[in-house]
Parts: sequence; C-alpha cells; structure tokens
Amino acid sequence: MRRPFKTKMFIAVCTLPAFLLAAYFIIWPAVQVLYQSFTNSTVLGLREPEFVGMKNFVNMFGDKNFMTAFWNTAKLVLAAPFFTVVFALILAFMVTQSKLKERGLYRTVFFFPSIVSITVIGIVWSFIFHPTRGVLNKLLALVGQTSFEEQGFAWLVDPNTAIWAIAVAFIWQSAGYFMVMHIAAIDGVADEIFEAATIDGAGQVRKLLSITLPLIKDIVGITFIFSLSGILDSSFTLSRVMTPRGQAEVLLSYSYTQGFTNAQYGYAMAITAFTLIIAIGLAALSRFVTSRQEG
Amino acid sequence: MRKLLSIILAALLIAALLAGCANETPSSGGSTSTPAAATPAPDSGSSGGGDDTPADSGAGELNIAIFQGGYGRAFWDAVTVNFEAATGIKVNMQIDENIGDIIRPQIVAGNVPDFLNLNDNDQTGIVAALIQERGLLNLTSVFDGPQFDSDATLRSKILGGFLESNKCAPYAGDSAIYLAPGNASPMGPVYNISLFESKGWSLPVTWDDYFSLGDKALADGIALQTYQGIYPGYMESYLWPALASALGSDYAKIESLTPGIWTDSRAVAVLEQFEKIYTGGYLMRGTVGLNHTESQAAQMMDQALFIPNGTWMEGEMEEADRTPGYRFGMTPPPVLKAGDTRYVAAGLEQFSIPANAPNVENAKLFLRFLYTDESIALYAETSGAVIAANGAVELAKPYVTDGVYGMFGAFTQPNAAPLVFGFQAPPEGSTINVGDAWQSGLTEVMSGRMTGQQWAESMNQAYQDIADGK
Repeated sequence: MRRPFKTKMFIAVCTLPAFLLAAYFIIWPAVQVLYQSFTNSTVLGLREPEFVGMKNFVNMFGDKNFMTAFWNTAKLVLAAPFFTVVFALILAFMVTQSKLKERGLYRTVFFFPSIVSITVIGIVWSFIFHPTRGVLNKLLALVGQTSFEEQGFAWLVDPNTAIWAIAVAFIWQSAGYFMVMHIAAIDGVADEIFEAATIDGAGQVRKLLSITLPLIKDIVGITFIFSLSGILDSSFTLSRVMTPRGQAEVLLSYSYTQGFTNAQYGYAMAITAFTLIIAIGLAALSRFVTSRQEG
Repeated sequence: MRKLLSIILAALLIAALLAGCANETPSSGGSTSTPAAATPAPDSGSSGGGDDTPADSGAGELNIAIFQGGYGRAFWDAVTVNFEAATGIKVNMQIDENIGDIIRPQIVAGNVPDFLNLNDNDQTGIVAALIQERGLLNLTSVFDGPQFDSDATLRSKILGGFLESNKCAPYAGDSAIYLAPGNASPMGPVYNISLFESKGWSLPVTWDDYFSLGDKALADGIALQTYQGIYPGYMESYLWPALASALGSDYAKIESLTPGIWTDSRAVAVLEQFEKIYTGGYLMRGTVGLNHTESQAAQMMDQALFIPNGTWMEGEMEEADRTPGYRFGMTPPPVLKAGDTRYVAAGLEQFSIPANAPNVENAKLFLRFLYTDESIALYAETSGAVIAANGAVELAKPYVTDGVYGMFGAFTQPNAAPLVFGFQAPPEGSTINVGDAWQSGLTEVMSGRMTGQQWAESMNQAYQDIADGK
C-alpha cells in the first residue's frame, strides 16, 4: 500500500533530527578520520595539513610500537569476547536451570558490574593486581605461589601479563550484561525440551551443549559481536587506567598517544582508520558466520 | 493538530542540535577563575626603571593558562592581582591539574591563551605539540629587552646556562628562545638525613659507593632505591646527570638525538649500573608498579634509602606519615669514577606564549613581571620554590623551609654542577617519542626483562629511526 505524501513528509521530518545527529556526530567524524589519515595534520592544526598519500599507512607497519599495539589488540579481540560469551552462557544456564532459591540474587549480583563505569572497573582491578597491596599476589601466596608476593610482582607493568589483566577486567565487567541477554533467550526455550532431556538421562553439561547452545545460537552470535565491539572500545579506557603508558598499548590508546602526546594527528587518524576497518571486518565476519549457521 | 505539534517538536529538536554545534565563548570553562586572592601587592608597579608602565602598555586583558602542580595555586592567584594593580590589565586565569586537556580544544577552536605555564614534558603534550608545530612566540627580544623594573636586560637576570639549553631554545641550530625558565630547582636522590646520621652512613659519590651502601642498608632490611614506578620519568634526575658525567662533551649528542651515542661504551657502562639496581636486589619490592605517592611514602617510612625527586616533595608529602625525625636531604646522583663531575639535574618549569595569541604584548609584559624581585620573593613565599634568576635562592631563603633550602645544597656539593636537560625538538612529522622510549626501556631494565646493553641498543634504534625520518 502506497503511503500518502503527507505521511511520508511526517516520517521524514520526525527522522530528520536523528539523521542529523548521526550525520554530524558519527558519519562526518568518520569521513574526517579517513580524510585526515591521508594528511600530515597535527593536533593543534596550526598549519595547513598536506596530502601525504599512503605514507601514514606505510609508516604504520614499520613502527614496532604500532605492531605491539596491534598484537595486543589482536590478543584481546581473540580471547576476551570468546571467554565473555562462554562465561555469560554458563552463568545464564546456571541461573535458569539451577533450583537455588537465591537465583534472583545471583542474577542481580552477576549483572551488577555492567552498570559500573568502565573507568571505575579499571581502578578496582588495578588494586587487585597491585604489586604490594593487591589481593591477587596474596591469594597466590596462600596457595603456595609465594614468589609473586615476595618480589611484589607488578602484573600491570609486565607487558606479558598486563594485556591479560585488561582482558580479565573486561570479562568480569561485561559477562553479566550478556548473561541477561542469554537468560532471555533461554527463557524462550520450552521447558518440555529440558524435561525430556532429563528423562533421557542428559546431564547439565549435555543439556547446555546439545540443547541450550544450538537453540540460542543466534543470540550468542549477536552477543559475540557486541562483545567484539565492546573490547575494542573498552580496551582504550582499561589500558589508560590500569597500565603505565606504553606497557600494554592497544590500537586506540596508541592512536591517542600519537595524536595528542606526539602531535602526529594524521598518523593517529591512520591508526584509527585501520582500527575502524578491522572492527567492521570482524563484525561482518561474525555476522556472516552466524547467518550461515542460521541458513 | 497532533501532527503539527509533532512537527514543531521535531523542528525544536533540530534547532537544539544546531545550537549545540555553535562555538563556545573563550575561557568560559568550569575551571576558569578570575584571581580573587586579596594578597597585598608588593611595590611591583611603582618601581621605575622599565619602560612598561600601565599607561604605555595599554590596558586590556590577558588570558593565562596555568598548570596547577605540586606548588599549588597561591602564587598565581597573588601575582595576577599584583599584575593587574601594576598595569591595569585584566587577567583571566584558567588553572587546573589537567590544564592541557582543557586548553587543547580551545586552541584547536582558535581560542588561544596568551600565556602558558606548562612544561614541554607535560603528559598532555600541548607544549610539545606547539614546539613541533612552530606555534610558540620567539621570546629572544623579550630577554634582550629591559626588565620590568630595571633598564638592565632581562637576560642578565636569568641564571647562566638556562636560556641556552634545549629547555628554552629547543630547535637544532637555532639559539632563539621560545620557552622562558620558571621555577628551577635541583632534582636528584632524596634521602632521610636523620637515618644516615643515626646509622653513621656516608653519602655515596660513585656507583661502587652506592652499591656498597646498598649492601649495608639491605643488611638492615632497607632497600637501596625506589622510584615512582608507573611514572618512570622521575628517574631522569639519575640518568641524564650520570650520562653527562660519563660522556663529557659527547653528552650533547644525547640531547641532539645523534645516533650511535647510546651504544658508546661509556653510556652502556652507565646503563649497566641501572641494570645492577635490579639484578643486585637493590630495588624496593614492587617499585615498578607503584605510583608517586606510594613510592614516596615508602621512602619516608625508611623502606628505601633513596628516591628521585625535587624540592616539591616536602610540600606534596606534607600530610604523609614518616619515620620520627625524618629530614629531607638531596645529594648528586652517583658517577662512575671519583673525580668525575657530579651533575645535578635542574628541574625547570617553563613559561611560553603561543605565537597566535591575541594579546601578545600583554603576555610579554606579564612574563617580564614574573622576574621582578617582588614576584620572585612572592613565588618563594607562596610556593616554597625558586625562580631561575640570579640571587633568587637568597631572595627565597626567608620563605622556604630548611628542607627545601637544604636541597639546593646539592648544587654546591664538592665537584657538583647543575645540568639543564632537554631533548632537541625531533624533526617535524617524527612519530618516535624519545621520552616514551627511554622510560619504557628503564621499566624493562628495572623489571629484569632487559639488560643495560639491550636498553642502549633500543635507544640507539629510536635515534636511528628519527634520523631516518620515521
């Protein structure tokens, strides 16, 4: 049915504010990022930027600090969303399938970290990983691993451990949020299916792997994509808050360092554009894999 | 009617959006403040040698952006009042711990402050960016011109060696001054005088002395060294003096980013002393993960003998617990051989004027006003610190604490000499941050993941990359 012109106009006018906001705050900055990545623009913009072609992108791959940031980001992207979704799934399954009276309490407790600011999360985990006052070294000493406590091991300063510390903080913060999404999906699965499985003698692990997971795989796929974009975003904040500069640099924090501390804005925009392309590519890949499974 | 109402609401939303995109007016941020402290103005305006009286300066306004660090804001509140009284120029001051982050968008939007009190090594990189973008005003004529209160040149009032250093003249092959020296104070190993007296220990001169002392301290359960682990930049007060002492005249190549200097055997020998601090077990437990207040508090509880710091430490740690009788002392950092010059890093705060500031002449006048005897005394009185001017230490003596005054004694130790350190500005477009490079290397050495030799090679690579235009 064709809509009358007046209705179309009404819809257009109503969507215009949202469109303008998106255009001004999302699309236009993205276009600017791409444009500036081909220039030698500086952070304060005191001189006219010159077009430098692909120079920034070529320099990027010869910059060992960029490569370190790239691999750190790759480690996070490969590990953090996977473990976040796995933990979210396990938590959701436990909360929905267990017979515990305190299920509601656990649901709230597990969700709670996701309403706390990521900056606060970073600060809290910094205390946990603290070399002399941190709980982690003390716990390890209790189970016989005394060397960490004795030497005051600084988890957030060692590049080999700092990036995983960031991953742990991210997983702790976001698993509860995705748990809620998984709970909603599991609630949509008919109880009879679980009851039939129980009668057939299926244990909890079998029910999780053979019933829950296949039936809610669409939601799992979506939460994975959300988690993927979440870690790219949160890695900047967690890296800045938790670790000393340069010890666990990720792509966005390195872009910030080059843009604002080193004044190389064009180069920073090239790094940002590269990150944007990776993010879009990963999201498309995840969506492709999920849609193939759906098909 | 309902549709009409919806359209009006949508139009209002669009209008609000467009209004939100409008430019802000300058200096209207939350941290902006007009100085209100009613500090009695010294007779700064009445002295008469200079040619800038209120009448000929032309009253107007001056927008200043001030970094509020360990020395507080009392000086700036007071000196702006005095300047207004002396010149009739209205001062609008923005002062904040994060002033760089506050003024960055203002500068980008064209609202440039007239005067900056912010260092070139500030974490926000504003002054470093202004240097890279050639955005600072050439101040040479100001220093070759008269003082505010005398006909003598302003240059003659500044301590020797400062205006010629890379801290003030940052460009290669160009002696023009772009940054003015502010507070100058010694930085180096801070120790507890009372602890040394009670133990009968002597202050170390060479690295061998230093490690021998470390063995004695360790036997008493005290670590030899700690530092502000997550801010490794503090260790520059050990590194540059030690390198200057070892390299002699070749040390200039460190500041001028000349490839090859870091792998010189004398430089490597110095870096290996830093390696030994870790491998010898002389570093306080957990140091690399501590922040400045944690490490300073630990040193003041006699958990470590030395910590790199400056004269601001006494004020910064005013409220901190300490061992009974703790007294601040400072000594030059160790040298390789007895008889080598014992350099003491001179920490320097910097003033600058952006080249495209709207009130440049007023900013120049304000800069000259800061070097009057009255302002120097006021600085000491309100901040407990000393401007890099001849006679400033004596002018400040009545006002600074015994601890701060005593730390200035590091400059006058036998065979000691001040060292003003600053890297030359890297070539335009360089993506290598030398400060990050040496600090990351230090952290790796102090964590046992890198040797002194490897640190030297990584620094050499950074210098080579800069030379190669990266």
